[in-house]
Amino acid sequence: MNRVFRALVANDLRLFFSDKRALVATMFVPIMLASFFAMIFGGGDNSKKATIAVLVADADQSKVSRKIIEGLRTEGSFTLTPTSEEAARAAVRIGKASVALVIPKDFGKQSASAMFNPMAPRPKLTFLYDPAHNADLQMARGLMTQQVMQVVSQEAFPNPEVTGMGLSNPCEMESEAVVAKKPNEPKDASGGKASATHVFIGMGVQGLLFFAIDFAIGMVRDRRLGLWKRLRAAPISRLMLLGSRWISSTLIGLVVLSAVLAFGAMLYGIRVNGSTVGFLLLAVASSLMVAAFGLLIAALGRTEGQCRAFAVPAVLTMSFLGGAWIPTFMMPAWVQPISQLLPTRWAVDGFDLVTWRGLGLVETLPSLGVVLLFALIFAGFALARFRWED
Amino acid sequence: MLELKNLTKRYGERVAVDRLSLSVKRGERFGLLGPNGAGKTTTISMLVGALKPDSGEILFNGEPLSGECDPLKRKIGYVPQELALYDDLSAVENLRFFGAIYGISGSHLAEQVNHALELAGLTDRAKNKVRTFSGGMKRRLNLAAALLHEPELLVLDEPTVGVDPQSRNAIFEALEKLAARGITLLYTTHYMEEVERLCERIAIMDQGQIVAEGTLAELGELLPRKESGFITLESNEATRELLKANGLTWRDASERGGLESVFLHLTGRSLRDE
Repeated sequence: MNRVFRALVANDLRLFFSDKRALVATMFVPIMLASFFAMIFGGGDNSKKATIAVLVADADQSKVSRKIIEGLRTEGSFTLTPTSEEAARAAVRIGKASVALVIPKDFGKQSASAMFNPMAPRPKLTFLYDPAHNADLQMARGLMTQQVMQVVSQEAFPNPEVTGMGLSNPCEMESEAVVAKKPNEPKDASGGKASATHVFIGMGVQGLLFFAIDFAIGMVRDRRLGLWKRLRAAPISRLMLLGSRWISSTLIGLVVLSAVLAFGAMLYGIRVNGSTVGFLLLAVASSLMVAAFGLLIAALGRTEGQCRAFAVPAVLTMSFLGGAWIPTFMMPAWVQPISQLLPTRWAVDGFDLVTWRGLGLVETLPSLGVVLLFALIFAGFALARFRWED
Repeated sequence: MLELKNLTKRYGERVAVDRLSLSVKRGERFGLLGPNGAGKTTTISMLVGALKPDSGEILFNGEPLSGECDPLKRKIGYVPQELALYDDLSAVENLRFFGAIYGISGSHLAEQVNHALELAGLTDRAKNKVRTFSGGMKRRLNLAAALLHEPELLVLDEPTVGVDPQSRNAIFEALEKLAARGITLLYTTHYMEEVERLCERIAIMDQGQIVAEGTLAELGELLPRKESGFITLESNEATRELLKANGLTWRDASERGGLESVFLHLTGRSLRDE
């Protein structure tokens, strides 16, 4: 091998291995991510099955309805919580529950009659559901059908030999997607645009996070080039120096987010069905939060390599657990409380509320508040830990 | 004009600058000479406000320099050792930015940018991106960027590192013009010939302290007599023959050897690779 070529390669290796912290982080990242995904989707303790939270509004309170509910509870796929229809509707509307079952008054009586007499009026079971949780709805409908047939036929034919020989369907089942305004997928309830909207929001937030890494690396490079020293020689405070970076990176972040969402609007028809003000405030808050995260990376990383090594796993974790890749409800139950500790979860949920869920500013305020709180925490840490004297 | 009093800076156990005191008069061209690791850059960084001293005081025109936003900082220009420029911006964009951070704007800024470009000999390349510049051009722009706010004191931290002789000469001509306008220069370097050419008064720094200070002639007096003795000989054939007859060889001596001898005498000959 050419001697010069060998020297060039050796020098690159020397540089790479000389930054020990970056080296450890580089090795650690793939191991950590692999372990993480394996734990979620593969190995680990899967004995604790995740259950779906279902609200039950039982206006009938009959023996039949109680037995159906008990049967569903015993089956083990659902965590059932009794409530009123109004409360159930409100909870599904803001995404607090994925499915709610409404059992009408006289369901027990009418269902038994309908089973004997095809001409008798059939009671109607209503499933209120969140369009983003279509799979939960299908599962709830399937298990409900099974329970209804079993319980009603047991009540009608106490003789076990004829159990299950249903003469006619004892009830009708209706599914109602609950959103604040008319859902933007009127032709079907598959969550087509809800899903597309969620995907674009998630990828937009992730795009902001990756931009924050680049921005942080740029700041560390500027420090290495002596630009920070030159700036500090001017009569400018540290707060102004970091603050100006925070704002400029927020503005660029807004451009990135706008570009992603505009693309989604043009190609997939995603819309802000809720509060436009809420949407804009969330966009600003999310950009501020991510820009502050960038400052924090720049504050903690001594070299560009260290920034990259620390920030990439942090961004991937925040994106994944925050629901930017796949909705958090598809993750195991134990991930849910962890994801709520991440600002990305609040940002993504907030955007969901004001876009396809069509909710107003008031419902968005908790998300907005938490995202802004994270922005301030990140910025505070960055200001306290920034290495001015390197 | 400038007084440093008992300035100290530590990095952990290591004392980078140790109770350093010096003063620079208005309009003076002052050289701070020292080997690598002597504490020159740390001293300069504290002076321009990029680094906070652990103790000591910096007085400018009799007033203490304090705080990040001290308006006195507007009277100081700083040329860092690094090429502190934005490579992806043009020369004029860089200068506009570095003028703007001192609060200059509008036609005054445009005028200052033009003057700085002219002084650096970069008017023709004003609109070119800095990344297309040679090392020497970048060095000249690095100097120009410190002049936009018309400082009274210009602090230069090894401003000619890695430049070709032409650019070095251009930088020196620019500095001589600035000195002629009455701007005080504080120049740090480890190149003897630069200090000899530019500076009226010199301080030699080593291990965080000033080990000698004075004019070039005064510093020359510090050498032991046996080392500083000079014999003036005419460079001709007769002289060479005379020396040869006495077992000596003629060798042309550089005039620069004087200060370098003083420097090595004071700071030692061992390498400073820390």
